[in-house]
Amino acid sequence: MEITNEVLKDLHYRMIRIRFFEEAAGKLFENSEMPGFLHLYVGEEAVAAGVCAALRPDDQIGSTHRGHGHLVGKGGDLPKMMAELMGKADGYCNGKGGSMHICDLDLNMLGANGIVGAGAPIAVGAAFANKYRGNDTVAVVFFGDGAVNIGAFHEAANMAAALQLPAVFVCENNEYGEYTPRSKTMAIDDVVDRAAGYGMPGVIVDGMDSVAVYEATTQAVARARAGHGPSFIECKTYRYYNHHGVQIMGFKYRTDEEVDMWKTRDCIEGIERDMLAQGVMTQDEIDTIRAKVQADVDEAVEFGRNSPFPDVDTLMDDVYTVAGANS
Amino acid sequence: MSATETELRELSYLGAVNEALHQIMAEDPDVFCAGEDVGASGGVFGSFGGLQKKYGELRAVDTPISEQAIVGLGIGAAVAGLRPVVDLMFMDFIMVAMDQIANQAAKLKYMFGGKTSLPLTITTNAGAGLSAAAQHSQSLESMLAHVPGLKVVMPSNPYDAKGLLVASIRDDNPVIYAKTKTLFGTKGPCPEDLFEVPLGVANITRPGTDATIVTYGRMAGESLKAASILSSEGVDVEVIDLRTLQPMDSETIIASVKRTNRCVVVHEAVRFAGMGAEIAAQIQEEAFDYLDAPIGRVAAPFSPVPFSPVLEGAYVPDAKRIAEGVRAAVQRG
Amino acid sequence: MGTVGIIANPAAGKDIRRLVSSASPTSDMAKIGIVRRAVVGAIEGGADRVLIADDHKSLGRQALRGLEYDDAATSVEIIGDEVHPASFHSRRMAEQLQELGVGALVTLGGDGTHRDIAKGWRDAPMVPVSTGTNNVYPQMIEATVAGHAAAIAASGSKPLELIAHRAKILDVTGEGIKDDLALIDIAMVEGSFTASRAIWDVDTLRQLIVTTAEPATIGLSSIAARVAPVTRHEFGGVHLRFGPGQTVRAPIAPGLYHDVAIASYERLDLGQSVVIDGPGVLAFDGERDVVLAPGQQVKITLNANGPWVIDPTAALATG
Repeated sequence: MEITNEVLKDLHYRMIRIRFFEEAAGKLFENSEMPGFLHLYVGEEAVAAGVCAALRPDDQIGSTHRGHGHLVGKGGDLPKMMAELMGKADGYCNGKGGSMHICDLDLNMLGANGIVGAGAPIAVGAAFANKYRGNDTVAVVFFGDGAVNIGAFHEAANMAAALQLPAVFVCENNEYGEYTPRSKTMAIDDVVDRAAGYGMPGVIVDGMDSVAVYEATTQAVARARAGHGPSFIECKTYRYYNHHGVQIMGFKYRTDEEVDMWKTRDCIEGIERDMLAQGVMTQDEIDTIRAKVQADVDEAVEFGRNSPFPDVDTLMDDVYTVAGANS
Repeated sequence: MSATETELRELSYLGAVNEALHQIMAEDPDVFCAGEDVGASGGVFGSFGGLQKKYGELRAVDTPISEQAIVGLGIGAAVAGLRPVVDLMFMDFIMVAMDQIANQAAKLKYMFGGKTSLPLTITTNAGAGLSAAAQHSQSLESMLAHVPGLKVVMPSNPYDAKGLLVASIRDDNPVIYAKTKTLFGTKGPCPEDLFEVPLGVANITRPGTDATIVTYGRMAGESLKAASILSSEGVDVEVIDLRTLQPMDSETIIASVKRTNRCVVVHEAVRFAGMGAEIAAQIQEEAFDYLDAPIGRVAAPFSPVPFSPVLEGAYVPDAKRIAEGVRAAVQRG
Repeated sequence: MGTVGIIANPAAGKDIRRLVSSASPTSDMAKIGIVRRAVVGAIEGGADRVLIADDHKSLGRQALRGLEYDDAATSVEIIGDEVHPASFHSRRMAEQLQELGVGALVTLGGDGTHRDIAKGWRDAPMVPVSTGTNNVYPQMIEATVAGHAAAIAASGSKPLELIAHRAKILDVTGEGIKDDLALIDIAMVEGSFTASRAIWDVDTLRQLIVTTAEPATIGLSSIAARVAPVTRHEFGGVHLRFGPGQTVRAPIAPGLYHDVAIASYERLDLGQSVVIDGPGVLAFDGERDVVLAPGQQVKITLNANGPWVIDPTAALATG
């Protein structure tokens, strides 16, 4: 398959948007302008960018507690996202969801999810709806290495294979379930070894290389569209920041050397270096894109800051689609 | 029920459920059913009988025994615009899928700032009486009614079974529709047409003046029997069949208690933290000054459902115990 | 007598060809079983020392779990202080095993893995066992027998020349790239990224140089086998240019046949070189690895001084 310059620029743009958004969110969080829990996607951008670039707008994605990158990757509105993360009325969820429940159903992003592994059954339900309607839309579910040890994930993967649904399972294996290394929680090293057990093909790609992720996703999605059922892609990746928040506090569960080693393989530096070498973009063009995205993110931050907090009267709104339950 | 309704043809409780599914699937192409044994075999109790033959494998889906994924299938399909009916064979099995029900289905709309609706019906089967023991006999409705975002329905007769199921499926919220296993064979009048019994509206199945029994599910019938016993003793009991536990028709309860001044709540679920606790609390909040006696509760003891028929018989409330409960309320003051 | 070394590539058998072709996955559990059987075979074959290269998945350590043997007769050790997840691992391990006096290797992987091993120990005597995808260099062989054959080779009881052949090799040199090599084939493909590394899209192929083109194998070299077959034992290779001309149909990955148009081909003699100009991506033994900028040039030379590939049948023959 041909990787055009347009695809490369698109991947780069998606990754920059995610990275700059997340860096800004991290600063707001450290500055106490952002309440609650914050799970940053920095380091893993190649996965969301590579997957989303291979999708059509009507394809659905299911997400995780580390879901900002997925929504940005799918084309999320940065001001609405930032406002939601800050608990403001103009946020995607009117301040009702926050970081862990951010969603945009118009973009077919089925929502971040605060329960590890819980997004998988829901995305499989979306895949069922696609098959039911007889369209060739595909549902992709992102999940971490921690999720594959949860029953809901197994149930969903098996169900998708048993019913031959148009789904793609994308594992973001960042080697840690919160603060515990994967080696302590699984007897196998490659999550993808389980794919055969579900009866679906599984591949490993370099999750720090957006082009590799794009290529594998394109193939898996084509397979799903053609009615050949689900596939499993394991992306070996890494998060630069803490499980929650930015800096590691308290228990130091991984070495600086390890973090630095992964940073030498940074997905954005990598694609910029390659595009410069291949003459796809000049340094000036890269700088222009970076400045534009930074301006977009700055604008999103200001939008969030200026947005009002929700009216307390809205607290009971949207518990039900039609009011009528007891309060 | 009105006079014309009593002249309706008779249908079994289960037959009414099956008829509702057939008719609503004919009406709405977005409705499908999924769950263990739902497809080819028509469900272990037969409630999904004939659907796969008529509507095909995509609309009456046999799934793995994967309660979380079954509910997740319904949630995802509902978010994507379909109107799923997913089945968890026994109400006990709901516990296996509680994350998908309580943390996902119930909350998605709220967490998403109202950006979606979730027209999902989860059908299940509740209740003791079949010596099915502690993991296949529970009535867990109060746990579900406690979760904002869910609706909980428990029909007590064929008419309601059909009308409430149609309303549940047409509702844009996640609804737990719990049938009672011991009622499957009971017959009663039921219209042939597709009709709705609206959710959240209780049914006064017997008007009375001396005391109010608030009940639902299997105990609705037992309470009517108890009312007959009490009637022979000169006690005129009003029986309210709630039909829907969430949302609850508090208005009907309060209005009745204000008239009768005495109330006993009856359910098959265990007494502690059961629906009776909520109902009693609401009555004392809204009608304290009208009460002539403490609100009574007749319910199962705080134990798992036993297996042996003798033990199970002692566990499940019946007309006799209900009558005793009402006498205690009436004799006081 | 003798020391057997074992290298298992933990990454082999899991790439994108499981999606784009019918390649089977090779799980770590399968690899652990293979390593264990190779150890048993080596012990039975008389090795007094078995050295297993460590890897980040500890395949070797897991293979030894619960394995019973007479440790007075054979010492089995895990070696390798430097554990690296990249392909560099196989290369570094091969270097270390050579330094430790290993007489013969059992190696697990596909063509790509064996290329890495050859980069670390060019003339290693080895029994290459297939656990990869497009396997021309390693062959399908039971690991028990592979370990046994390696032990016989390591003992020196039979001259290497009688039980092994010297593999052909393609040496690559050029401005701006590190000296490199391939054991089976080097393809020049269109594009500017290595991406998911494997090759399955024949439309991007521009040139192909092979050491081996056997009709009964799969992968890019099977294309050459359709027009100019050359076995692993023959001296000589083939250089193809793709483009309008003769169309052949070949299995370029497991279960995946494609029509490929060949514009021209020429046979290569030992010592003969081919010069290739950028831009494009060089794929070594089936994996895109080196990106050539416009104007960048590499020289590829066919040689016959690669690893010693042990023939288990010859090694195990009695008399």
